[in-house]
Amino acid sequence: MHSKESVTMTKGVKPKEKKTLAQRIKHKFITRGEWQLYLLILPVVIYFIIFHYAPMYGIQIAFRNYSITKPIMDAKWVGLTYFERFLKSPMFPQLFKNTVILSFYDLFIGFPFPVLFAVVLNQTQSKRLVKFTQTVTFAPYFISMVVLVGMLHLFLSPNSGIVNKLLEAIGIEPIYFMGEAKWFRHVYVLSHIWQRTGYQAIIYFAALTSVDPGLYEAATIDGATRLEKIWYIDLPSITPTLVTMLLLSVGRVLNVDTQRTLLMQAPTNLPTSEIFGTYVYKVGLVSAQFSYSTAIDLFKTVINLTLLIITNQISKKLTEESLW
Amino acid sequence: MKKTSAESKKIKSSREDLVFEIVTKALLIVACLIVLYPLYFIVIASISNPDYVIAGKLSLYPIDVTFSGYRRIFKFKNLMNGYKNSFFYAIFGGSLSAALTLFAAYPLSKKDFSGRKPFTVFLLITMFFQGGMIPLYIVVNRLGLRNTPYVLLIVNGIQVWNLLVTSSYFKSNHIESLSEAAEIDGCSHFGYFFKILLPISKPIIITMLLFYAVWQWNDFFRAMIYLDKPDYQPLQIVLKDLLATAQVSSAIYDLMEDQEALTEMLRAAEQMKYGVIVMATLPMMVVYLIMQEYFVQGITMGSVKG
Repeated sequence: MHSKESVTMTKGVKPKEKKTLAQRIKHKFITRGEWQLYLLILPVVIYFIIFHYAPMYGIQIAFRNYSITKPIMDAKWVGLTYFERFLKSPMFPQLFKNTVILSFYDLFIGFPFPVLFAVVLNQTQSKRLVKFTQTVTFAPYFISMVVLVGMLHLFLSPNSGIVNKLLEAIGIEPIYFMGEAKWFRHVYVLSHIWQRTGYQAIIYFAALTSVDPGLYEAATIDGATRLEKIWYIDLPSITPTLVTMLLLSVGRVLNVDTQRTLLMQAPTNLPTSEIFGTYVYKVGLVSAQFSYSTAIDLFKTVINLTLLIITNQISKKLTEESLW
Repeated sequence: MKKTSAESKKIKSSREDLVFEIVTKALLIVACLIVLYPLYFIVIASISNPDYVIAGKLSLYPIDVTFSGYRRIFKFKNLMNGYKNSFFYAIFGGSLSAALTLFAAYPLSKKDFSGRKPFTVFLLITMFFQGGMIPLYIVVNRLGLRNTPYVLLIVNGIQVWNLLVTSSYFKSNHIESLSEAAEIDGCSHFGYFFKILLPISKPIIITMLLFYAVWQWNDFFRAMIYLDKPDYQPLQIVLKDLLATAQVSSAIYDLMEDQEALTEMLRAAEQMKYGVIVMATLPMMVVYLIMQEYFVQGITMGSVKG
């Protein structure tokens, strides 16, 4: 009964007549208790101001000759000097090539696996096997990058690794997979597929299980084969998810996994394994050229953002799927 | 005898089903083997006589079982210290991040909250544009957080993606209707959030705790940037020094107090590597197997929101 009363009350409170801005703010903030909502979100907002927006302010050191002992504003303004230096340096074409190749190789070889895997899971009738397989293939996601690269070193070692022992057995000379430049990309992409396929398939599998079963029944009545059902029902139903994932990946083209690459680097594989992220780390934190490193980092971020906006526009036109 | 076309179609489709079933099952079994075998190999190599492992004799079962590798690991002080630190970071860092994420996700999920739009944009911008490695380093340095244990609890502690996932959970229908009822009853936001919403949101609370804790346990890069002293180093950094080189690292040499022959060291080092992989990964695997549904839920909720 009293709830009925309060319904009419809250309805009555809704401002029909115009109030001044100050009144409206006071009403929302105090009467409706919005200050509590602001208080709840406050810690996260402060956190983001300090650890995300303050660094954005710090980007200006890319245009200044900064040294860590002095405040940012005291550093001399040098304009685009660092960008020019980077674009003219022999490192630029190498980094650009390595980053783009590694990224696209990883993207285009890597992305069909979880999609196909999810389709196969969805087509399998034995629910127990499906559940078991999902449990098993998701597990590598929980292995840390350090451990994964450690495993690669152990398995691929030229003198004691099991892979080279197998190659030896069929008469192939041992290969130093973790050291040779020409092997870096293959090892990177294959190990990534091993670690990520089960995890990424979860998203596609969820999209597939939400397909209306009536569609399959209708298709069966129409005499569709299993492959036709996959082609005409399964794939279209995961297209939106797929497009979103691809868009996000393209927006990260130059952000290809820095940490994984850094761990997999050896002096001998640098010709293929030195990428934007690892170079930014080395220039900035190993040799302490803060301004130069930030300039390279900013250059990378701007290109990424541009690519993301372009692909998002294209996708909007072609498939009506977009991130915003 | 002539079959009607419907009948022949039925036979054709049932045969097709059978073939399909066999093929898909076989593919799934192969996928399981590809994932499981390397993990299994690590485990059996960690308890086998290293001579057989190095010679490539090991394949399906452990040979000449010995636990000397694990005995050495337990005597390795740096590693045990890293273990302790990582538990600290995972538990406290995970709890702190999860709590702040839940607090902020609630206002973001309220449709009539006047700050919803601006705060959402404020947070989303950081997903696409970052200050970068060095500007963040300068901020952390200025705050005096470098070489303190707090740095790993705080830096990169809140992930926008998790905020979005949590707020989309709060927006789901069964919770929304409850929120309306509470509002009608004149419940304050605090009262509703702490007394009603949190108790019925156990799944998302657990999911967030798990995601943040696993991430804390597995991350090494922040420690590499912000910590120089060995005292606060997490397990992953100790592991990196042990594992991420093809050669035997100096850390292992230090361990060999009795200075045995070089070959003996190499043998021991090889076996220890397999052992530390098991030790570092086991806690996360146990957590994963017990809590699997929460992880799956967390991932699919994010994708539904898109």
